[in-house]
Amino acid sequence: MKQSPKDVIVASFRQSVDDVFSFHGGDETDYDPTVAEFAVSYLFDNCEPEEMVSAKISLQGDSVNCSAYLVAMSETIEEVAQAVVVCSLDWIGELSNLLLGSFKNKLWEYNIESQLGLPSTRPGIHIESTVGSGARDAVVVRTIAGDILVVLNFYYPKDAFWEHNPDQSSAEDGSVSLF
Amino acid sequence: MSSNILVVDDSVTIREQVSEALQQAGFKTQQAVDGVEGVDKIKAGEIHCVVCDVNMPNKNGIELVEEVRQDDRFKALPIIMLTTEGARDLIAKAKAAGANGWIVKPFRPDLLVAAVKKLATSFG
Repeated sequence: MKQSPKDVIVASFRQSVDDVFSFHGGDETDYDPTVAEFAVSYLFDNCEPEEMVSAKISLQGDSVNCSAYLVAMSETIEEVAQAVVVCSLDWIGELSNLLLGSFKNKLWEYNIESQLGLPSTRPGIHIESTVGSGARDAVVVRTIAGDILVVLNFYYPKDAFWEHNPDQSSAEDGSVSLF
Repeated sequence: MSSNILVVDDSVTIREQVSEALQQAGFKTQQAVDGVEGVDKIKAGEIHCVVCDVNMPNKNGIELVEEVRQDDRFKALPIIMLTTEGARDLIAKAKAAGANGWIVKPFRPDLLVAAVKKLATSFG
């Protein structure tokens, strides 16, 4: 079944958020775009930057170009790990890596190849607020330790259709293969 | 004598989480922040198994495998990739380069330890 790239990207992104945060402490996710866009504005208007940490990671390919941003309070990031966390900046970077890595694997199943970049992290609130000719999806992940805002800015071919390739399955999260 | 495991990842949190899981299972561990440091520590000797990320700055995990396998001393050194990457073609590339295993993050500590136990005891 052929699908629009935007639909594939949004569905894959949201599934990746579910996959990563169901493992790392998310109780529920809120995909209401009104809530998510409000959260972006709320962060800039109401939160103390010194309490926050942000991560950005990009994915680039011939058919897709996107950047994911994670923003949360530092203590939220430390508590959701449920394991040793040396540094909240490092861990939010690794969460962004897990998220877009999972997303990349899902796109590969549609024959979409891409290169995953390295995460960059900073104290404070850092999100690219405009997407120009691209699109955005945003999610608020609700954890017992607080909320994590996840934003995906993405560019995709407007006139294309993508089709899932049943012969191209990626290795599952958590899987172990010994050769 | 407990085996010495090298953990190579640019995330200090991952390095600590992996090291803790292995230490609780009785292994000794060392850490490296990227492929360059990883190769240096392997060549310094006394490493019985490597757990290595793929996407890292300076030298990635597959480049580390390729370089290490060029040294006859380390042709049989077990190297397990620990990464978010799940594309089968990349896994095949790592296998062709000489990697011995592939674990997709997020990892389960018990499965990681089982994989290391299986491979590390056969080396050194």
